[in-house]
Amino acid sequence: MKLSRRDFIKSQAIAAAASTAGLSLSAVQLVHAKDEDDEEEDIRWDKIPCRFCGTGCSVLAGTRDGRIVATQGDPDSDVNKGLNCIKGYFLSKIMYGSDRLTTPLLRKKDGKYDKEGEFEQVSWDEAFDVMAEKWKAALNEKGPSGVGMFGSGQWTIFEGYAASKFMKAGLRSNNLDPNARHCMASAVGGFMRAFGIDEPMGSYDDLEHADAFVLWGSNMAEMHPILWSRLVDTRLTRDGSEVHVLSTYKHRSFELADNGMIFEPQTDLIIANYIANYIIQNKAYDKKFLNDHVNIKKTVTDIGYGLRPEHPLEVKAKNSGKGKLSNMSFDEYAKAVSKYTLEYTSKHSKVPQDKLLRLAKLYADPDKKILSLWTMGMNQHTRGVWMNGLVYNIHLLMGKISEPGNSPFSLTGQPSACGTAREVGTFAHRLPADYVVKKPKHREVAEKIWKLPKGTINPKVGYHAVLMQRMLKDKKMNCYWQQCNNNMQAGPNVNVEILPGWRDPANFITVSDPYPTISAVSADLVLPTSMWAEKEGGFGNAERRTQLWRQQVQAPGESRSDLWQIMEFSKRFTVEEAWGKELVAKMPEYKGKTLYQVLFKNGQVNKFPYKNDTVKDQDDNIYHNDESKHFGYYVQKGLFEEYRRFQTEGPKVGHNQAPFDVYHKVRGLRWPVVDGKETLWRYREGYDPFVKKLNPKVAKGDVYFYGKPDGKANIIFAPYEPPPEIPNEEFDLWLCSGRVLEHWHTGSMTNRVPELHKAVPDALVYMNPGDARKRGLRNGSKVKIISPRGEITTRVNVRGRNKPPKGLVFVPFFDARRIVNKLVLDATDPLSKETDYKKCVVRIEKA
Amino acid sequence: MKILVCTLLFSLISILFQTGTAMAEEIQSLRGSVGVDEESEMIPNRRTMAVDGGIDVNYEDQPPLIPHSIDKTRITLDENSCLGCHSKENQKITNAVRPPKSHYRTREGKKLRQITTGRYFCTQCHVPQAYTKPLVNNDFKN
Repeated sequence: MKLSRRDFIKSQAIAAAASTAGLSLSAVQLVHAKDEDDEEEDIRWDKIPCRFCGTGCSVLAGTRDGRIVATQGDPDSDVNKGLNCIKGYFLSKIMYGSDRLTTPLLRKKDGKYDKEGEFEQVSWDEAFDVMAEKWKAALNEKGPSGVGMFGSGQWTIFEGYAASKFMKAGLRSNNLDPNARHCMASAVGGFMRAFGIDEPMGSYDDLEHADAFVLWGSNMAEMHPILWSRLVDTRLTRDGSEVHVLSTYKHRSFELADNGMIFEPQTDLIIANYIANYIIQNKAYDKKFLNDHVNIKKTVTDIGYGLRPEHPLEVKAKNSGKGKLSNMSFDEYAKAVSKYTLEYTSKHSKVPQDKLLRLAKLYADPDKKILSLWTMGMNQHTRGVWMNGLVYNIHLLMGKISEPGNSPFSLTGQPSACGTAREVGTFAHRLPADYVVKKPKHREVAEKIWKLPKGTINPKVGYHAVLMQRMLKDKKMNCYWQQCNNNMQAGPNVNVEILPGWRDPANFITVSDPYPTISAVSADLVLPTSMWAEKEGGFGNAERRTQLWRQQVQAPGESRSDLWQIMEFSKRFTVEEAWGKELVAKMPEYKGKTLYQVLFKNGQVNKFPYKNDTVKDQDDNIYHNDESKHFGYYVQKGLFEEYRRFQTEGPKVGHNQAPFDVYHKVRGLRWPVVDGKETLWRYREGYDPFVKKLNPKVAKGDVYFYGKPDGKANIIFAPYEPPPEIPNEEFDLWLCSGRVLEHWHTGSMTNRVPELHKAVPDALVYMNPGDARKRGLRNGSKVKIISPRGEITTRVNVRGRNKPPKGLVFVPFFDARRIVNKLVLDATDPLSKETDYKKCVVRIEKA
Repeated sequence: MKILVCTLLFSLISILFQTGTAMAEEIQSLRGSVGVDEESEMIPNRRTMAVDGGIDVNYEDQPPLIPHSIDKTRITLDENSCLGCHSKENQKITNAVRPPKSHYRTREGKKLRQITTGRYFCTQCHVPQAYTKPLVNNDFKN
């Protein structure tokens, strides 16, 4: 995809406009402009998806002399049409922080590994020798549960797939989980329970088709800025368009709200049930749709909070961790929600009645097309799976689903939470393409495609993100490898439940990262890692769009990609060591082979040759591919093509992706891709080719929820249940944590971009002016925030972008110097195991 | 001039910083020498940069940084006070930086008289800066 300098300007027209519009261009820029024609030959422009959020914007990266010298929004991308947010515009700087790690570092004393030693530079060989020794010892002593890997929704598709293969097939351990557990697990749970297939039925095109938008616990204005700009465009240009925003505090998305609602934490459960009740009371529901396409169920209640089993709240819970569904008649459902009247809802949620009524009327209006959007407010919730379901209930009652503009849409946080964590299945219970480890048929599919002896894949669900930390602390898991995330800063209850396990001499902790994050400095072995444009990659965004990119530049020093690291480490294990003789005896041809040979050099992954040490595109641009050069075959293509077989060779349908090479030519495609065509709306005849295929008698334009055996989706009733902690005399405030526009997650990249750091240098505590006054504080006051688990210090902000109501404070988590997650309780949704980062208790004192 | 001095100062600091971290055993996170379980230093009160003539951009398509405080600006359904100075009409009087032509096109590329509603919230791309040092030097070259 070669773009000449001229084409590039023509396609965008921004640069020229800047000078004619009288923008003050710097001296550097003027020189740049003069040399335009000379530089045309030097800069290679290529598409690459943004490294940050789940929106999946495409950018054009300009490379010269082996370095990224500029980035800009990709005008040919349907997602962002040339626009980026402030983080996206600074992508060109994320790889160039001067403290990049360039060699493996191992804690040593007297020339040997020592937990209490200082970090010393070591070779990759020594790093993997020591690591393999530790891993083998743990496997021998504890079996497959003795080791674990914590990956990421920021892994490339290939990295997640290789990790899944290495852990689940190679080491027979399901202790593999992504940080997407912290972010999307409740959404996954909601999808599987209601529809039987993961990920949204709609697409971003709904942003231009909807009449009204409802944000349920999402600050899109900051967290999905490009999607927000599309929403804003529709709101400000379309007659009758309106925006409703629900949140526990006022944030930037309220600036566009026609109906902004601040509710008491956890009462979103009440509000959603009230809307269902309103629809039923007013007989506004779509009777035919319900008869034809919906089953009604209820979920087991009193399910606890995903805390340690001995925690009093778990002991007290009757059905701790249970999610069983049972049938319910429509009348029973109507009765169950009848408790959630307007008066009751307003009283408990503290949202004025007229606002609630306006929202309910909107959903109940058959002529309004509604796009419901949510992110962490709903997913990071001890009843997150329930809550996802309650919003589907509303859309299903009205039949407002699977058509342009009518769309319940779970927005993803990370760039490949969908593409990697969810689709590849790097969760402790999952296999690729929605298969799960506990079902024999699903394991069979994986064992067949992966050419494994029968019984290789462990049926026992592994440790999830939070459980891994508990198991390290309890010394039940002794080796842990973290890639592509910074859990020491992002995980909950850092000082109590994370740090102790990492520093316990019984455990060996490896962290792969480009930068010295607080995770890296807390580890025993640090592996320098190639990032983003330094490797060939692929991400899958929130609208099921798969996007691939080529390696643009070389990583510094001895950095290697996560993919290289996983594949190379797999060479350290023989099948006998990993599987035991009994299993190997079932496939004697594997005798004496390494995991690398069995998993990657298996005649499938190594099927595609890599010639001349480079890749050429159709315009003769030349790219390197460090992994393929090292292993001697086109690694990414081989992994992807093997992975694709999961989409067509098992009982599950509807996940089809296009062949690997296609994705290098397009700006992504939304799966299922059938005969080269992407799918914008699933489950509806005319849009989704699987509907007619699986239900030949379907009426024109009708829906068929083929993820469930009877083609029907589930309405699932779930009541309000209280959160695990509620402010009290000692800790009198709710704490909500989250992101800011200018930083990505824990800031390991964005904190190293000076402009982004200077835009938001510190994690402040956003607080209601009344609450501040009551404590003798004002804007800028120094404070201590104390929870039952720890304390941090910062300054107060009472005038900023976030304006909490009385009784709640907000602190972002990007700042390594003020780790808000020290304060957060490690309570999870008992079904999805996703932490609730949005509500725990704190108090604030003058510091 | 002020920026130049600052830049020199930063580079000096970063050289010192780099020399200090050249030995592998001293890798530091952004917490510096403060342990994960220890308490960090209190942050100074920040002030927003005010720079006459704007802040240099790194490359052509970088949205210019805002060289002044925006504490008093409001962007809501009813008003966009940035445009009070920066819109095509008002800019002639205020002499504020005028948005480029790209801002007067729809998502599909159709020309508009008014700023596109798709770019209504200016702060998605344009942000002010605080007077503070980078946490880590950045070696990006344009």
